[in-house]
Amino acid sequence: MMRCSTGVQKGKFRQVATFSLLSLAVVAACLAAYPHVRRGPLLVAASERLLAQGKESEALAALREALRLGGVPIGGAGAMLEAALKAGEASISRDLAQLLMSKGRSLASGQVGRAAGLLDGAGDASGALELLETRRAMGPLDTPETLHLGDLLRRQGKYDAALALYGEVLKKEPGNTAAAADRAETFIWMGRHAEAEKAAQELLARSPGSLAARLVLARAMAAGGNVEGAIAEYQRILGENP
Amino acid sequence: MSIAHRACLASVLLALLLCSTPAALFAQTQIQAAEPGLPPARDDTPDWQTRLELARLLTQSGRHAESVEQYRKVLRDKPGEAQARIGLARALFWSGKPNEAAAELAKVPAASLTAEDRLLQAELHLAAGRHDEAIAALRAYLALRPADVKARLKLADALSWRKRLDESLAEYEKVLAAAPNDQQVRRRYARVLSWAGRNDEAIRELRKSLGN
Repeated sequence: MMRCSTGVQKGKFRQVATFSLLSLAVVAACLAAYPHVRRGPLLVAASERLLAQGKESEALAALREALRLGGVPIGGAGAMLEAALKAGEASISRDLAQLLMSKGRSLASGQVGRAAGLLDGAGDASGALELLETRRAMGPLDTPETLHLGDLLRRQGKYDAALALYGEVLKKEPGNTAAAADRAETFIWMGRHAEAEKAAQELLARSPGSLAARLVLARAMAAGGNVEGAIAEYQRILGENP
Repeated sequence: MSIAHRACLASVLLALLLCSTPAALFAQTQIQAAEPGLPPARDDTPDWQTRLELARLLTQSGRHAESVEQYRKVLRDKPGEAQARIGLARALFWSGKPNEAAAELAKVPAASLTAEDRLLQAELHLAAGRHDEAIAALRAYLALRPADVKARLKLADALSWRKRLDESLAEYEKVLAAAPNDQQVRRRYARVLSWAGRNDEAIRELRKSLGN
């Protein structure tokens, strides 16, 4: 009887020990696996902490790695985007802006414009174009971003789309010399030099002090083969040929 | 090979060299003024930007002295403007001032130089007899434009003048692979083979160049 009871006790002890060991193993495995499974969000958290400590480059490095791994939560992405923009990080800015917009988050036109500017400056004109077009699909762009989008479009040979954008701006702001100059210059790119010169002259008649108008006029003259006229126009702008 | 035989070979090579060299050695590569994309015209466009456009236009219309003056004004405002310095170098080159042009190009960071700029740099070094510098510039150019046979021929020539005969022959072989019927190049190849003491191969190549 005694021997039987001891055997039962031993069996129970073995069961408890096995269960405890298994539980410990599961907890240890979870603890070990957690940083790997949730690496993205942990990196983002680390990045936020580093940013708060003023360690900007380390924060951006952590964020870059998080974006590479995917699964970045968008909670602090807005602040991160601002930090990336300030640091001049083109690709991180693009990824964060795209991430936020893909989740339906509304971004200011200027914020997307800054990211597009960084991308364009880094030689990624297609990335800049994509970013601005995504933002435009979510709502109207401000004038500087519309003009940048127009420039990106015409650089890709999409002249009609660019002219339509300049037309939109001029409808809202008839006196916008930048939009009118870009419109005139697009005619140069299209090989319509006479039209470009005429548009520049018209702009100059409306805004006699516009340097943009004079510059486009000089460019149109040069493109149309009137090199001497263009040189004289450039010299006039520079005050060397009054 | 007897002394008479060698003398005969040398005189044939010399005659062929005199016939073939001037055009290839002294031919200037046509340098086109590159027109990079202009930034959009704005009411606050800075003077230096406008002046840069004017300087380019002056170069294109052959008014090199005025162009040099405008480029120098741009560089006074923006000393780090690589495009202005490259433009100044080109304008100086076309004004017949190759040494000043080379000096200006040497100030431009290597990363800002296009393939065409490197070719101009090579031309300037070649014209001044700076063969080692020309070889380096030609190699940098050919890394970007490997199919340019004319430039490779210049490299082969420059290497041969520096007695780097194996490297020179390797370049001639690449040129001949691209232009196997160019007899002038084959004769120059033969000449370098003879300099390398590979006279039998030189004779074979010379015969080939004569259609035998």
